[in-house]
Parts: sequence; structure tokens; C-alpha cells
Amino acid sequence: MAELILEHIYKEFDKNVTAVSDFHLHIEDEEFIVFVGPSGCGKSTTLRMIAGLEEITSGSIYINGTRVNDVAPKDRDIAMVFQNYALYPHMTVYGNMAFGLKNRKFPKAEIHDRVMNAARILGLEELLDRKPKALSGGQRQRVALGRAIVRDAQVFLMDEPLSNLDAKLRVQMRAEIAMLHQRLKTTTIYVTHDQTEAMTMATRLVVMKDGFIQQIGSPKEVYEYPENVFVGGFIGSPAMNFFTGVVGEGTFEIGDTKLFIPESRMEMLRGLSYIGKEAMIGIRPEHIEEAFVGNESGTKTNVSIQVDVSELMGAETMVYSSLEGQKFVARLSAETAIRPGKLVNLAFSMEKVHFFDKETEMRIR
Amino acid sequence: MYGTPPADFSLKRRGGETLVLKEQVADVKASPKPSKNKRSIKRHFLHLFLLPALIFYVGFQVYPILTAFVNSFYSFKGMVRQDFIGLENFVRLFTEEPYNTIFTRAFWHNIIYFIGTVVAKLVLAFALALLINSKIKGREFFKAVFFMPKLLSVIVVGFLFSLILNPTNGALNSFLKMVGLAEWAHPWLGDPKTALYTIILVNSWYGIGFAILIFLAGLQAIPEEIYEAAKIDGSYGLKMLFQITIPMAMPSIMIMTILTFIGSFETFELVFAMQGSSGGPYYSTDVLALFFYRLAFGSVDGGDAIGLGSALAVVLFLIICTATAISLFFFKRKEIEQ
Repeated sequence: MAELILEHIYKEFDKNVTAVSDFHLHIEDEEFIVFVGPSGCGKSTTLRMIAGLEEITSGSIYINGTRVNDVAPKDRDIAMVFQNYALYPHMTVYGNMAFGLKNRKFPKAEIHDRVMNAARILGLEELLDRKPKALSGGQRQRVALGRAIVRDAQVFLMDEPLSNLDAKLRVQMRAEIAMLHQRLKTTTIYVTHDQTEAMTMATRLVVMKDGFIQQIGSPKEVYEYPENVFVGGFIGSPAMNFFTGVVGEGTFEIGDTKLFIPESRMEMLRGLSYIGKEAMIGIRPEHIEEAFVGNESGTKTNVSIQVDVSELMGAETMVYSSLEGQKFVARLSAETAIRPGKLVNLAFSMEKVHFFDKETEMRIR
Repeated sequence: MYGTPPADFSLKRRGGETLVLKEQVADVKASPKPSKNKRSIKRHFLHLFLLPALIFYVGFQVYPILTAFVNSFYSFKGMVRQDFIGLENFVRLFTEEPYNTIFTRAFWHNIIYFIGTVVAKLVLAFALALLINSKIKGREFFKAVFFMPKLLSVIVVGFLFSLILNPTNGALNSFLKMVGLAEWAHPWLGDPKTALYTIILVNSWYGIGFAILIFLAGLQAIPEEIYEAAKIDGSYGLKMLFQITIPMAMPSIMIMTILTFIGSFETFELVFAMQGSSGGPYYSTDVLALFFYRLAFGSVDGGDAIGLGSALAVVLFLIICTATAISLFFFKRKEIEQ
């Protein structure tokens, strides 16, 4: 088990391209950290630097207090699961799992015990003699996990391990990996571009964009208090809705529509002298409800809009529309009678709204 | 159910064959399910396009091969086929002097030729492919340079090396003398001890570029992630080469070995160009193809030249076929296992 410290890590390719900038993070023992962000955000590069597959331009990485910048990958005591599994096609499932141990000169009996144990945990006992070619995607993924498990390494590194699986299997494997972590408690760093995976698996999320960390926090923190417009838009499905408007005294004015601002928020905005200035608000789709007579309250503002599209998802209905030309989506109950083309009243829960600076796109607080 | 014919339908009607194709295409486009009959007509029509190639293939490949098979069971007088004599040509080839001695000697030369080429060409080609694959500067340049000899005709290569290896005024010996290694100077092609190996080296020089290309393709097909996984699993350097690189490049290695085997047993032009039809000196470079040439066209045994020659050709064909089939069988099985 291990704690990791990543100290102001930079990665530059060819002098001009900076893939990772000032990555600074302290990972506690037993954590399940997820690096999440769009492709090209530097998450995989960071993981590969931890693995030792990529040189660090500047900064230091410590595993259990030891600086590992110049330590070879095999000596870092890490195990890695790759996106394409990277199984050795010429070896059996058993051979694949035993390979790392053989190279480390483990006694045969111990190799056998460890491989059998991992095979039991992952349900691979029947497949040990097969070659990777004869396995399904999910089974291959399990072998890749098994190869990491047998090593009993300090840190597991997983680089988009589920992205090659079909949707159903992905959900299943997601749960399996989470269970595996609960069982083994090995410090895990997991890279994904899928915000659902990130939300469901992480003890802490690291949201990245263009090589910079945007926010670090628990899934709940990141979801409820996004640091900036990017995080709000990236985490959550459907994404957070953003509206640009002007902060007035007690209202947020989007064109002719005036949304009520609760007093606590008003105090903050007044204090930071945002009155009369342009700003953005962000509101989650679930914080926009159908307005019925009687459910108006102090913090809700009803607006009348025309529905563009409605999608019944089974348990809920997504309603797409626009307010003063700015598109948004609302998550309503499946029972709603709202249909495209209709003029309806929706209630915005204004106490849930976040304010963002128009220029910096940072959350105002 | 058929679609409207194209506007120029009536014009095309006079166009003979064009018309048929046009109609078919129009039908397929217009109706989602053309009748079975129509579809099969179209398919058969398309087969016609293979005909020119097929005629050449049958005329110049299949027919001579079959003729050789048939001829090997007949006796000949000059070019004229005589009686059916069963396996007698084969029996003579394997038991009668001097045929049996020449055959055995040439056969072993072919084997040495194969092993020598595998060692000199394939091993070196694999090493060079590894180097070129390791992101060195100017890899395209090296690829081109190594492949260049292959652009020359074998006869030209043979002649060129005969000049270079000339014992008195050839470039190699002159060079050795110039740098003070006069005692290394040697009649490379004139000494029965070195002649065959010299030809093997020339052949390797000639064919190494092609082997490099095949190996490079094989090496480039190995995903980078596999190497990375192996690195984390503690595999480095030579260990990595034997644990990962060679096993994963096995398909290309197998293909090159099979091709080299076929090439070794077919080898003719280079030996012929450098050492003449008798594989001199003293038959030290004689190979089966040369023996066949002398037997069939060189009137070694005027009477039954065609019969015996055909028998030898059939034997050669069977050797190559059997060896290739066996290796392909094991190769396929290995591939399926993977």
C-alpha cells in the first residue's frame, strides 16, 4: 500500500508543446483517484509519468516517500492496466499473469498460488490455458486486471481500461473494479474520459483540461460545487446549463427574463461588486422542474418557454428548450405531459444556481 | 419490378456486350431484390473478366507443370515421347550412376544453401530491421539502400560479383592487398571450399532488403503497449527480445523462412551466372536446378533427357511442396492457438 506525492509535475514534448502543467497532488494510501478530462488534457501522460513510461520534464514523483523520477518502471512497484489490455498474445492466460513474477524470479510454487488466487477472484479459473485471442473483451480485461493483481504492487495504474468494452459490459466491469478496490485496498489511479465512470468509481476526482488541473475533490464536491464553467459542463450528464446575463439588484436578467436571486447569493455578489455586470449562471438539469400552481416558492422562478424536443429515458424525461436564445435541458419526471412545440412553465430552483465570472469562467464565491 | 432503363438505353442496345452490363447494373440499382436468375447471370458475366489472365496462367503454368508430370512417366527419344515406363525415370535418378551421386550432392548443396541463407540473410536482416525500427535517424534512407540490390537483375548481380571476386584483378582481393591483408586474398569462387559460401553471401546481400521490409512490417505490427507492459513486468533488453519481440514477430519470421526455403531449392540464376551450368569448381556449387537444366537441356544423357529431367522437376516440386505444406501446417496451428 502506498501514498503518492506528485510535486509540481510538468511534461513538455518538443520544447513547445506542454502536455502537463504544474500537476500537484497528494494521493493518500488506499485512495481510488480518477483523472478525468477530454482527450488531450494530459491525464494519460500524467499516469504514464507515474508508471515511468514517460520522462518527467520537471517536478518530482514520490512513492512512499521515495523519489522515483529516475527509477525504472519495473522497480517502481506499480502495476498497470492498459486501454487495449496489452496482453501477450503468444502466452496463455496463466503465462500472462505469471510473466511479471517469473521475471522477478519468484519461486514456482508462489507464482502458482498467486495466479490461482487472482484467477479465483476474477473468475478466470476455467480459462487459464487459453490464449488471449480465444477470450472475449471482458475476459481479456479481467486477465489484464489479473496481471496487476498477482504482482501485489503498491499502486495500480489504469489507463482507460474499459473504453474498448461495450456499454453493458462496461457498467458491469466498472462495478467489478470498484469491488476489487474495496477488497484489495490498493492505491489506484484510474484515467478516463467518461465522467460517469469518474463519478461512480472515484474517492477523489482530478478534473483536467489542457494540461492543467481544473479541480480536485470528491465526486459529490465536484458535482455540487464546480470550480469553473468547464468542470460544471464536463461533470454531469446531461451537462450543467449555462446562461449569460446581467446581475441586477435581486434578479439575474437574461434579456427580458428576470430570475430571482436569493438574498444569501445577493450579499456575495454585492460584496464582490458584480451588480450591473455581466455574469454567467450554471444550473443542473434536475434543478429545473415543471411549474405547477402551488409549487412556487421564494427561491423558485417560473419561466414560460417553448419545448423543442423531449426525450423519454424511461425513468425520466429530458426536455430541450431555450431561454432568450440560450439553449438548456431540464430533467423532468417520466410522467410529464410536456410535448414538443408546447408552451410550458418551468421553475428554476435558484438556490441551487452557481454564479460564474464572465471573463475568467471561475465560480464566484 | 425492374427499374426504368437508362435514358440512352436504345443507343446502348446496339453496343453488344456493353448493353448486357448496362442492363444488369440498371436492374441492381433499381430493384432491391433482383431475381436469382439475373444475379447469377451478372456474376457469370463478371467471371469473363478473369479469362485473359486465366488463359495465360493455364497456358504457361498449369499446362507445362502437368506435362512435366506426365512426361516423367515416359521414355523419350530426343524430343519425341515413346513408351509409358512407370516409375523407371525416378528409379534411375535415385539408383543409377552418375545421376544418384549428382542428385545427392546437389541436394545437400541446396540444404547448405538454405541454412546458410537463413543464418546470413535472415539473422542479419532481423537485426537490421530491429535497428531501423528503433526510431533511428534516416530510417527511410537505410530501408531504400538495403532494398536497392533487389532492383538489379540476378544475372547482373552475378556478373558484377564475378568481377569483384576475380582472384587476380577483382576489387575485393585488390582491396585486401591494399590494406595490408594480402594473406586474406583468396580465389573465393575458384576454391571448392569457399565457392558455395561465397554465393550464399552474395545471395544474402541481394535479398536482404526484402527480408528487412518483411521483418519491419512484422515489428511495426507489435503494439507499443505490449512493450510497455513488458517493461513494467520487468522485461528489458535481450530478455525483451526473446520474450516479446521474436515470439510476436514469428509470423514474419516463418514467412521469410518458408520463402527462403522455396528460394533455396529453386535457386538457379545466381549460381549459373557465377559458376556456369555445371556448378563449378568440381561441382562444388552444383544445385538441383542446375542439375535439372543440364539433364533436360544440356544433353548429359541425350536419349532420355526429357523423361529424366521431368522426373527431377517433379521430385523438386514435391520436396518444396511437402516442406512448405508441413511448415505452413505447424505455422497455422500455432497461429490458431494464439
